[in-house]
Order: sequence, then C-alpha cells, then structure tokens
Amino acid sequence: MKKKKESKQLTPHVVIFVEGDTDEILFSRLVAYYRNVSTTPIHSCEVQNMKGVSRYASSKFVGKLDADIIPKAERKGMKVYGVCCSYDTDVFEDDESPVVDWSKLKKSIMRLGIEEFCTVEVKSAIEDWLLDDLEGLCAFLKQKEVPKSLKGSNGYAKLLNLFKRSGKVYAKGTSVEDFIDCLSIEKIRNRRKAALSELERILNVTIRD
Amino acid sequence: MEIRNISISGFCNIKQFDISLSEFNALVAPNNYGKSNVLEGIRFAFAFLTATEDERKAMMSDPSFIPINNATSGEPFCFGIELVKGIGDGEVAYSYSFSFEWAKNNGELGCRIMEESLTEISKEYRRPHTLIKRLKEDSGLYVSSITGRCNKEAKATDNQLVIDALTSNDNLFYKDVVSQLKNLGLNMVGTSGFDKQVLCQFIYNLKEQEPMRYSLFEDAVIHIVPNIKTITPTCFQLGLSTGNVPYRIEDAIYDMRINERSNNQDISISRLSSGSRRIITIIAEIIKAEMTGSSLICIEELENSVHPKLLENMILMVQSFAEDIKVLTTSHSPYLVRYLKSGQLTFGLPTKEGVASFHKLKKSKVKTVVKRSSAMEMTLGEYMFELMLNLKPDSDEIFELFD
Repeated sequence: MKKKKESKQLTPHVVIFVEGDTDEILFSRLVAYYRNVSTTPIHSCEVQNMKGVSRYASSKFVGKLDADIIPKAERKGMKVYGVCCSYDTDVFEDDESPVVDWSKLKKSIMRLGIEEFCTVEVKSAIEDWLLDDLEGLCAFLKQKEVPKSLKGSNGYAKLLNLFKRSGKVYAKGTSVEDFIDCLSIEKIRNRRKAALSELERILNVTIRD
Repeated sequence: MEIRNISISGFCNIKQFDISLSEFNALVAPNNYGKSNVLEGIRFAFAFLTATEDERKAMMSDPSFIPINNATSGEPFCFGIELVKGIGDGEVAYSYSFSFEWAKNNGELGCRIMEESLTEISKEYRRPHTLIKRLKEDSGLYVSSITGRCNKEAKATDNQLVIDALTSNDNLFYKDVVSQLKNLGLNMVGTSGFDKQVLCQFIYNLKEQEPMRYSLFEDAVIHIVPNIKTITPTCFQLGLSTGNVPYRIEDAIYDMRINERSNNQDISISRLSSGSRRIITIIAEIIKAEMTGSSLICIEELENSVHPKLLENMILMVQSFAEDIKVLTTSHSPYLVRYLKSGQLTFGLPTKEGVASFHKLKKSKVKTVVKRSSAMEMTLGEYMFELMLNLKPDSDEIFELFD
C-alpha cells in the first residue's frame, strides 16, 4: 500500500473562493499580476467560483473543500495551506441574505488542517473595483472623454450607464471577459490594497511600493 | 408617470388581485393558480381603456373572460391603477378605477360601465382630491379648474368612460393624467411568441433608423447567448421588377442571419434553438416597449427555455433595458426566485374555492423566513418556493407569513 505523502513534502496551495463570474475573472487576473510583480515567489493558487454568497453559509462549502478540493490538491502534490473567501459587502446590506458566521466557518476550515484563513471585503460590489480604472474602461468603450461623475446608485448601475453611452450592455461575467485586458490590475490593486493585504500575506506576495 | 399599484377583480377566477409594483416583479405559483389570468386581466383592462365603444361592448360580452367560478360568478369587473409623477415631496399619486357589469343572458341588466373615479393624492396636501366621479350610469362629474369642485357634468353612456369625453378638453389641469390613462401601453411576451416576420422587420428597421438602440440589442443578445457571434438583419424586397403602376405594394421578406461560433456558415433565426429565439424576442419586445412609451411589460414564464446559468444575466438585462418600465413576469422556477428579493415576489396561494389568490410575504416576517431558510441552508427564494409547493388552503403558514 502506498504511504500517504507527508504534509511537509507538499507544496503550499491557496484557494480563493469568490461569489460570482465577474469576481472569478478579476481575482484570476489579480493572481496573475501578483505572480508577475511579487519579488518573492507566491504560493500556488486557484480561484473557485461559489456562484452566490449564500453558499458560504452552507455545510456544502466545507464539504467541497474536504471531499473535493483538498484531495485533488494532494494528488497534485500540494497541501491546501490557506483559504480566502471574498464577498461583495452590498449583499449583506439587506435583511434577506443568509447570515454567514465567519468565525464558525474559520473554525470548520481550520479543523481540516488548513493553516490560514482570511476574507476579502469587496466594497460595495465587484463593479466598484472595476470602476477604479475608469480610464481603462473608457478606452475599451472608445469614449474619448473620461466622465467626471457617473449616473447610478451603485457600481453596477454606473457601469450599465457607462456602457449604454457607447451602445453596449454590461453583463455580469461575460462582459468582463471582453474588457479585462484593458484594465490596469495594478491600479485596482493599489486602490484596494487594504482590503487585499491579508490575502497578499497568505499568498506570500511582496510588492515594493 | 410610473405605475405603482394595480388591482383587478371579477375576471376569470380572479376574486381580488392587488399588487404594488417594484421595477421587476414575479408572480410565482404552480400551474393552474391563475398567473396567466392576472396578466390577461391587466392586458384586458389596458385594452378596455383605449378601446372604441363598439370594442368595449364586445369585450364586456367576451365569454373567455366572464367569471364562471362559483366564487366570482356575477361579480363586476373592477380595475384600479395608481400612477405617480414627481419625486420626494413633489410626488403626486393619481388613483384611477372603473368597473362594469359583464353581459348577462338571464334577463338581468349587464354589459354596461358602472363606476369610475380619479383621485389625486399629493404628498404636500395628503388629503385625497376627487377629480372624476361616476356613480350614475349615464353621466359623471369632474373638476374643471384647479379651484373648482367635482360638480361639472360629463355625459357617459354604457360603453363610454368619463375620461373619453375629457380627452379633448385642452384646458383640463390634469389633462396629462387623462391622456396617460387613455394611452396606457402594455407589451406582452407569451410563452410561444415568435412571429418571425414581425420580429425581423422590427429589428431590421431598428438597425436602419435607431443604430444606437440596435447596437444595444445586438450586444445584449451576444452577451446572454454567448454562442452567437454576430447578427445581420436582412430584407429581401419582392415585386420590384414589373412595369410602371400608380401604386406599388411593397412586400418584403425579413430574416436575421445568425453567426454562431460553432457553425461554418450563417443560419436563419428560424434555425436557432427555441431558448435563443425567446431571449431575442424578449429583448426586442423591451426595446419596442421603451420606444412606444409603454408603462408595463408582462412576460409569461421568463425562465421558459432559458438555461438557469443565463437566467441571472437575463433578469439583470431585462431590468436594465426596461429602465422606467415596470416588468411583471410569471414563474414557476426556483432558479428565478433565488435571484429576486421578497418585495419583488408575489406568491400564488391555494384556496378552497379555486380562485386566484396572490400575496406578498409580510415585511415583518422576512427575518423569520431568512432564519428558517438559513437553518435549512437555502436562499430565501428557494425556501419560499419549497414552502409554496407544500401549502394547503388551510395551512397555518398562509396566515402567519403572507399579507
């Protein structure tokens, strides 16, 4: 019978859970950016799309980690060393989203032998982060002037209106694939440095500012 | 002016239906609970307001809509609508209603308009101000000037509404409200609605005359149906080659040529999947509604033929396109429900009489339901959907949770 590999021999691996398609694309690019600019080698990393923040509150979340992600990582010679859960804060602004008990979730994750856990609060929604590089968005939309202010009550509405001015629609996920290459991930990272600091620590990212 | 509330009674199996509308609304119920009757009732009422007198007579005698349910039989048709203009303290609401007796063939009088009223409620004054009141069968009273009282007589026959007579009164200080009521627009998307010629002609003309709107249409379709790369509306003119005649009938065949990623050539829209065709039809209908100044779009089963993965974007797209137009869809999909808030959902509840009974979740019960759904690891929508499927007419939850 084959002996199970010792944890020490396994490469550290970090799993970033995100709540939707747009977040998946942006966080994947962010990890690629870290890989390029970090002066220290960053850990192996994967982005998992939860398709809805309510899944964090479900026992299926820990079950997926335990039964699917950890064994898969181990088969590839990696140990899931850290877990990061990202979520849009606007989801919890109303009374209708299931309450996620983050400390309880952290304990459940630690029980699986995972050493590090953090959350990334995306304020208020991922669209607000995309709007951090308004110049990049306007370049993609071929808008000559960068508007000083945008119409809309939230990031999503602002993006919709910005896109409409160019005869385009903004659709979650699919639209982002079209314009992500026009965005400066560096600009977004610098604006959201505080929210990302824990994730960067777990990933072993070092960026000289 | 936006529509805030709609009420209907005495139509098919509808005993009483009231809904306050948010931007996007869903009537959620299993089959045979009266969802389609509600949409049909609203369409009927809107059409009644704009119909001619002869058309109204036919409508009041239409056996397809006359209530035959034991609990609704003999009830008059009543329709109420609240329109709002302005925002904040300057907001003014107008509540309009009318009722008529359905045709009867048992010797009793029927087929006649009975009541009509229009009331203004401004946030500033709060007290309702009656602008139109009809209690007699052959005439009504209305307010003719800002300082006047509701005592000016307007003739109105069995098939006539008071607002018909007031449409031509240019001096009326609430003419915009009367005009809005007489032009209430509604766009309807059924479950099987695909008229190729009508759809393709509309899109062809849209590209020719409204390039910006066409660009939005094309971009929306491409993002919701990712397999589509490009759309090319086409028009083939017929009968152009024969001699000089005083009037040439211009016939044409319209199509949309679709370029799909997986195909080696363009195909006609007819060859697309029914789901893709439906998405295109819905987006086109919303654009049409926006162009014609409609106030409401009714969609039968938005989720029909749409893959659950595409549904969230479909809902968001419908909302963003509709802007000032209210959207009302029917649904029996737990997938649709999970993307909406409780205020957007109106649930069909079972009744012993078999009448349509639609209610919203009590605001005070939202936290209770969230707690219960969290404990069961479900979203609020999923929990509500499962609850609804198991309800019986005398279930405690009906009284506990619903308005």
